[in-house]
Amino acid sequence: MKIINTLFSLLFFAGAAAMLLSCDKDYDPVFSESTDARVQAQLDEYTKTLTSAPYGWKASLETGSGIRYFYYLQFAADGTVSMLSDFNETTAGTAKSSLWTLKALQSATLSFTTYSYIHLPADPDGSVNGGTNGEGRISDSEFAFAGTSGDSLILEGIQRGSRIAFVKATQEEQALVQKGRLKDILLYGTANKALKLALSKDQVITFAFNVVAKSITAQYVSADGKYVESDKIPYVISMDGIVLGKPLTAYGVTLYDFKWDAEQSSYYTRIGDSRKEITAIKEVQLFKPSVLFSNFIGYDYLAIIIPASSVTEPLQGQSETFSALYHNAAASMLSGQYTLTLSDAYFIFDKDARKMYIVVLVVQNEQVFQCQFEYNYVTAGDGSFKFTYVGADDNGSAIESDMTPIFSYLNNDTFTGEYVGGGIEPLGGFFSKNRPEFSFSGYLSN
Amino acid sequence: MTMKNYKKIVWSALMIALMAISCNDPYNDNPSENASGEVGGPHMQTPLDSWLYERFTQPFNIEVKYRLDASEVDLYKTLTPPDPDYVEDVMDVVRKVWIDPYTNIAGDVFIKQYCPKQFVLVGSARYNFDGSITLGTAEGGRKVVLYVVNDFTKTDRAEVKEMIHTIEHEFTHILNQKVPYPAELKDVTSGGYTAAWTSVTLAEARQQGFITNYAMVSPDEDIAEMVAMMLVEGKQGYEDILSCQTTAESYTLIKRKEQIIVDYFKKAFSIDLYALQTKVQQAMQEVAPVDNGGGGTQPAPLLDLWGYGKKYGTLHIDLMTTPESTDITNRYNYDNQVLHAQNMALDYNFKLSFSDTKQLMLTLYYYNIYSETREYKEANFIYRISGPYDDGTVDIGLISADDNAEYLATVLGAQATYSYFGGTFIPGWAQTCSGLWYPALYPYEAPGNYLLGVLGN
Repeated sequence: MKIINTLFSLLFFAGAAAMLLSCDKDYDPVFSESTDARVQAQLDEYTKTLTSAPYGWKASLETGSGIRYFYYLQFAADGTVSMLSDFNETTAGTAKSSLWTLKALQSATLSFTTYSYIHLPADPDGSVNGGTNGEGRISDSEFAFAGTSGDSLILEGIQRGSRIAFVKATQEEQALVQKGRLKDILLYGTANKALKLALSKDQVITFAFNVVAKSITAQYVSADGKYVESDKIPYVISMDGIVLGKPLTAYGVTLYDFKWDAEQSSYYTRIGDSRKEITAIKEVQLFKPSVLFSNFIGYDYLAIIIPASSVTEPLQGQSETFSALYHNAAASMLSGQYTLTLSDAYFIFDKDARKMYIVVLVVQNEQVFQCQFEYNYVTAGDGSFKFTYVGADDNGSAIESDMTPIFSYLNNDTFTGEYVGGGIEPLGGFFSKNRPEFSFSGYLSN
Repeated sequence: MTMKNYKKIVWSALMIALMAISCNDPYNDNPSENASGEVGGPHMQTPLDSWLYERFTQPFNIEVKYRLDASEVDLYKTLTPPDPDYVEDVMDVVRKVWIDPYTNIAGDVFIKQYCPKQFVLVGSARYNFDGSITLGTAEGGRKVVLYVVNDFTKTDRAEVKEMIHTIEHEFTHILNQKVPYPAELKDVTSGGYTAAWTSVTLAEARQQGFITNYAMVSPDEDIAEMVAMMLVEGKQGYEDILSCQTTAESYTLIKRKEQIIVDYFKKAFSIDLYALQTKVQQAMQEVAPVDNGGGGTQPAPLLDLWGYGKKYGTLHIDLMTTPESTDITNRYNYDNQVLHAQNMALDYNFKLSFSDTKQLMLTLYYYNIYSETREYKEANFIYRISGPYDDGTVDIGLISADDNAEYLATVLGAQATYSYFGGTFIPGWAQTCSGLWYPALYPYEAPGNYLLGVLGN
């Protein structure tokens, strides 16, 4: 019994000693501060970085749609941010102020907390940015700091996976931006409906901007000389001009960008050592590939479409005379007995039957009607067309009087069919040989 | 007590004491110096924040959140934060059209007690997988999310109605959670509730005793829709919907629900729903007045709005859109036939404008059918207008006509339309069966031959 008692006492001592030793109260904590304090310190650090760029930031946003946008931002310590963007002509010229903050989410996150130009690509309303409803151009409102690359700060969108890279702007860049450089650069491309780069007399590339799609359509004769190529290239504006999203190769040369000449207010590019101007198209630019247009329409493409918008915005190749008559036709349909709104018009070529059908779509009370006119046509070896009126269906008859001024050219004149450059899609056009003041064109379609 | 036991007790006490102090760790006891848990970047108090605080947080304990916080909304939807420019407009309407009428009828305490405690504002719509969009949601009586803030136009009646409908609907749910509505409401159309409400049209729903098709989801939604429709459409608008779109049987059913709901509001909350309805309508009329025609409530007397130098100077008549009396359409058709025989036509748009305090000018448009480019000719007829007299009538008499008008009337012989405007008229407002109000001229002798239009300048 005595032994057991002693054993018991010993166990107490051992237990007590173990307890006293087991907790080392003098350990050094791994972190000297609480988690919150450490996270806050990191956010403060990022806040300082963002707000301490003396001349603001240039940023490139790469959205899930593949489209890139350029931003110029100035973060202020009070939580406001002022920005410009190449999203459109307005955002490129008018600075907008909004709120930002940093959040400790899975990692330090930059959040644009009220509507700003950053949200334009992210807006789920497709009519805002040309994307699909529900996702827009697939971009974000909140971006997690993901690291640095050279002098760039890289952030990743936390919801839709877009990426944005910030680079500090220089004093000179800030001055240029504030003087409206972004807008000047964009506006030259968009205000001039079509531009061209002439490498030589026969080697011309045409360019047309589409701000909503954020692309430039480049058109040129293919390498084999047979056809016209039409290439849509995404663009983003930089401090120096326009950067092409992918290199453009035509006539054996490759273009990467358009430089901005602020003095002349125009684009140029460098090919080798020589400077080549990119200028507005004044006269209509026709391409002359080896396959004649008369052997092309009805074969590779079945139709040309005159879009509804040409009533107010004529396409390349639509002469003033035609535009005025087309505008009048639309007005006369609208004020006429049936209150019709002129929509797209199709000129469809059936090469085997040598028939051309003009199908004019008109809208009445949100209902679309087709009005059809039938023509025979012949082509000559020089690529000219002669159309002979056959008749109209019932709907056609209803708008025939509205269309008569245009048909009077179509029925009586001889036309040359041409590839027209400078559209955002490939264009085909018909040019009256008898009355050169009349020509019309439309997008090639099937 | 033996010595042995005494020792045991001492040892045990010692052990307990040791245990208590052994793991005293000052580091882990150290609370975070930032005890509020607010970790983040800059957060500036903006004038808008103060405005919202003064109007919602301070008086009613409602938080209005407009800065982006993804955790407040659906993480799997693409949404944008609101533009602060629109936040004030939205919340001003919320305050004036939703809160103020309630406090007016039921007192401040009522709103404080029952209102949702948080409004979350979202700039864009919420797009659903079926292609539809969501304009507002409510969660458990605590939080209301309002979408499409960036498209909100405060003075647009339709948008205001849509938003207030959402809020009144959700608020009714909250009230129902506090005080259950009488079970007898469920029995009125007990067989009609269906999950497939989307396949029922609004008109069909109303013929089955429901105020909207969404009301067919369940009795809970039914009462929420009833209250929202009554308040937002107003007494007139609501009654018009009933009289235009119900059968005798469904009319009785909806009226029975209305009675139960009105009693419920009275008993449970001491609220006179009809008085509330009037207040909501007044507020809506103030915020988003519809007084030029096509609105759901009767605007101010016509001649207060329409006159020389008044808000509107012109009454636009468009025979294609407004439901005119047969007399008017007959007159137009007659003139048009007369003109057609001479290769001319009369446009179906014309206007009646005040050219002076006592002068009205009727402008008709006619054109040559066969001219290549359509050229409208304007024919102006000038009338003297006198009154209004005590009985509300005005006298209108032709005094002159310009050359085109002379030509149209005497040479071409189109006399039916302009001659309508000679005589005694009562200017007023006409309500169509769908509940919309249009400015109207009623011939004193034959009010059935009225003329409807839309006011403008």
